[in-house]
Parts: sequence; structure tokens; C-alpha cells
Amino acid sequence: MPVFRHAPSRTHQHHELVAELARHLEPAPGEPLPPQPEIYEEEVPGTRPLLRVWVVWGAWANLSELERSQIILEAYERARGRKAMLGVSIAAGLTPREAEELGLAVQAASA
Amino acid sequence: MAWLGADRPVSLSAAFAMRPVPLPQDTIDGFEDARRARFEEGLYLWAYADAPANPAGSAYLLGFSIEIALKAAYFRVEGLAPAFPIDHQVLNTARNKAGLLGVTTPHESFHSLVFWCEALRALRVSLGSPLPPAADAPLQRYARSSQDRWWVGMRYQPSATSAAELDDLVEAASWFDSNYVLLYR
Repeated sequence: MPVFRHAPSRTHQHHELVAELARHLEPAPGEPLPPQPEIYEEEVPGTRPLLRVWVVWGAWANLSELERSQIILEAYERARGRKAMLGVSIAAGLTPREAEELGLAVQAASA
Repeated sequence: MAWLGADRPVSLSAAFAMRPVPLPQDTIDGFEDARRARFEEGLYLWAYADAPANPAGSAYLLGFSIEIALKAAYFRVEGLAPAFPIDHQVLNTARNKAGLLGVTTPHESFHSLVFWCEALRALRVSLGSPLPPAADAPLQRYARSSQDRWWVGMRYQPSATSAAELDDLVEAASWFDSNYVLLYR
């Protein structure tokens, strides 16, 4: 009988992905960036400035939904500070395929 | 990076709304209605039950009223509009945010009273509006004591709530009912 092991709550790429996403959030002037991750921010109705953030990234493929959300929040805190992180009410990571299945890529491209 | 603000004709949330099977949506408004209803139902069972030695139904409802109050207050403090959908992405983000703010209590499928209490307190502190001590102390005390007497899985268990424990839950739930607004203002 095969043995199934639960994945650790944080994968080994965790810190690397936080750093890369933070670099995309606040790139240095003139710094060339790869096309991914794509970061989509949308205002959320509320009593203070809030954001819904989707990050479309092939690097999410082996990560749980929860860890993707965690990485996004950590990247916002690193790049823009705690106040900005607290303003993210929804942090969701999608692979390009998942985004396409939800119609997000099409919607974003036409917006 | 793209910015999809309110002035854009098509939003990402609109794309989500186009999914073929819409699910019922939880909202702060819905939480607040449910909070009050569960509290009144639990109180009714406590006051008028013919068999006070079997108070599981009352305890179950009162515990839920506390959980819902904490959850609704958290999202009020977060700043979400009352009709904004609270889905699993919002809950996951709240969980992760609490972790970044130093909350280590397990959320127990988002039913832990102590988790929501600590997440609410940490969020308020981070936003520069901690609860005054006169509210913070009973908040912690009642959340912790209620967690000892209520858990979501108790619905599958024989009643183990004593009359004295139920009285404690009534006192705690009554405090949350009377002070609900204070938790987020």
C-alpha cells in the first residue's frame, strides 16, 4: 500500500516566491521584469481602502490555495508595508490555466 | 501589473460572478441577522426548556451566536461593506493575515472562538484602534470560557453540558449580544 504524506504547510519555494512577488510589486526603476507573475488589484467596497488581489503565476502549480494567499500577503507586507498588507481583503493565487478556466485572463485582457 | 478600478467596464469580480453555479453568499449583514437569531433561539431554549438537564440545544445555539459575533465584528473592523460576500478566499486571507499579526491559535475550520477573538484583537491593534481595557478583558475571558463549553462538533456528541456550564454560556452570549457594536467601533 502506498504511503501518502501531507505536504508541509510551507513549501521550500515559499520565501523565494515572496521575494519575487515583492520585487514585482515595487520594481526598481527600469528593472526588467518577466511577464509573470501578473498582479491584478481591484478595489473592494468598504469603510476604508481595501483591495482584492489576484496573482496569476505558473509558479503556484504545486502550492495550496492557502499558501498562495499567504505568499501574496507576505509580499505585500515586504514591498509596501504592514498597512498595505492589512488593506488586502482577498489574496488569491491562480495558475494561468486556473485563471483561464475562470475566464479571468479573457476578462483582464479585455478590460 | 494591471489596475482594475471602479472606472473600468469589466472587473475580475464580475468574471467570478459569471461562474455557472452561484453559491449562497455569506455577508456581514447575514452574519449579524444570524447572530441575533441564534442568540434568541438559544436563550429561549435555556429559559423555557422542559428538560434543563439536557441543555445541548441551547448551548449549541448560544455558542454559535458568539462565534458569529466575533466573525462579523472582525470583518466590520477589516472594513468590508456589509453586503460584501464572505467566501473561502476572504476567510483564508483573514486566517493568513492573523498569522502575520502573530495569532497562533488554530482556527479549527474557522469555528474557534479564541482564534476569532485573537484575530479581532490583533487586527484592531494593527489598525491603531485597540479595544479599551474595559471591553478587552471581558472579550478575552468570555471567548476563552465559552470555547471550553462549546465546539462546533458537539452536535454529534451526547450532551455533556451541565446546567452550570449552560448558565456560563448564557452569561457570555449575553455579553456578546449587549456589546457587539463595541467590538468593531
